[in-house]
Amino acid sequence: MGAAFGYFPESGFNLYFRPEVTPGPDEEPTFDPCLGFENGRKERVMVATEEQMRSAKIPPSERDYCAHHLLKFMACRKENWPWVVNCEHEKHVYATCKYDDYVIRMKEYERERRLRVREQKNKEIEAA
Amino acid sequence: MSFLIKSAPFRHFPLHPLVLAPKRTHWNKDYKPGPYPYSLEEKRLAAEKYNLHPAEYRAYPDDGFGRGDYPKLPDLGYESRDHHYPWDNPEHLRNFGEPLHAEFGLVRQDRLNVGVKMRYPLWLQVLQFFGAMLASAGLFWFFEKFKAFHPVIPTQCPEEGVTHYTFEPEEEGKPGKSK
Repeated sequence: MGAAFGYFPESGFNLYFRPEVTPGPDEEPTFDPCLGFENGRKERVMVATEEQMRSAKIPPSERDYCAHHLLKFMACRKENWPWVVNCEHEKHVYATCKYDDYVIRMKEYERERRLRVREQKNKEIEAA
Repeated sequence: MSFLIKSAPFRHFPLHPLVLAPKRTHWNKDYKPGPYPYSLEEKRLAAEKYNLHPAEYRAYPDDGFGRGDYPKLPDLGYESRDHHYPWDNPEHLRNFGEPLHAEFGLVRQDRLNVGVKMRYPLWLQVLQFFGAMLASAGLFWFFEKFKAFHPVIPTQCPEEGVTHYTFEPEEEGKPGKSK
């Protein structure tokens, strides 16, 4: 829990006392995504189609880059219900994908924060 | 009854005698106390009227806020009376003919127990109340000011014209290092 909640109180203080340097909880990244990556970055690929997601009635909040795993998991549950304990593998695959997605979001946030710190340092150097 | 009718004059609070009457339904002209007793004779008569011994009868001071000759009984709530004594009216802890306290509505059994020595003084109770309220308000203010959040960007959903990236390099070569 410390890994996820370790920054929890600090985030509020940082947002209040150092707003230029701290991205808020609803802010999208502002810098160029490929800045600093010499060998470029892989793009995220959407596997499930709009048609599939709509027919499975997935809520819009879950129509992200892990939706194809969710579709498999839901199909497995539908086949095996009420013995859905047999779907542990599909559930684990979906959970891993969601975890990786969360890690990407964390990294993006930290990248945004560090770029802001760098930008502010550059400004201070220029001003001086 | 009139306020049940949806007609224009009675849509608001019904100013009808039948509805305003409840406060005046249990009054009797004999309930009104007599004038303030100034002489000893008047005092004696007043004590007799209220079933009190003349030594223990005293009236409220006549300063414009008094109650005529109604006795000023000790300010004790009815709850502090003996619950095991065989009262004539045990449900009220009162004997027949005993004068009611002038502020009966305040000191009756199910309301304030005035004059009793409390385990914790009143000022401490007030302090505890406002202390708890201030503490809650302080907590509220604090956490409204410093809102904590998880350090993640919003969910990345696939959209038209927007590309999202992972942190892996494009080619299967060495990972990119920022300068």
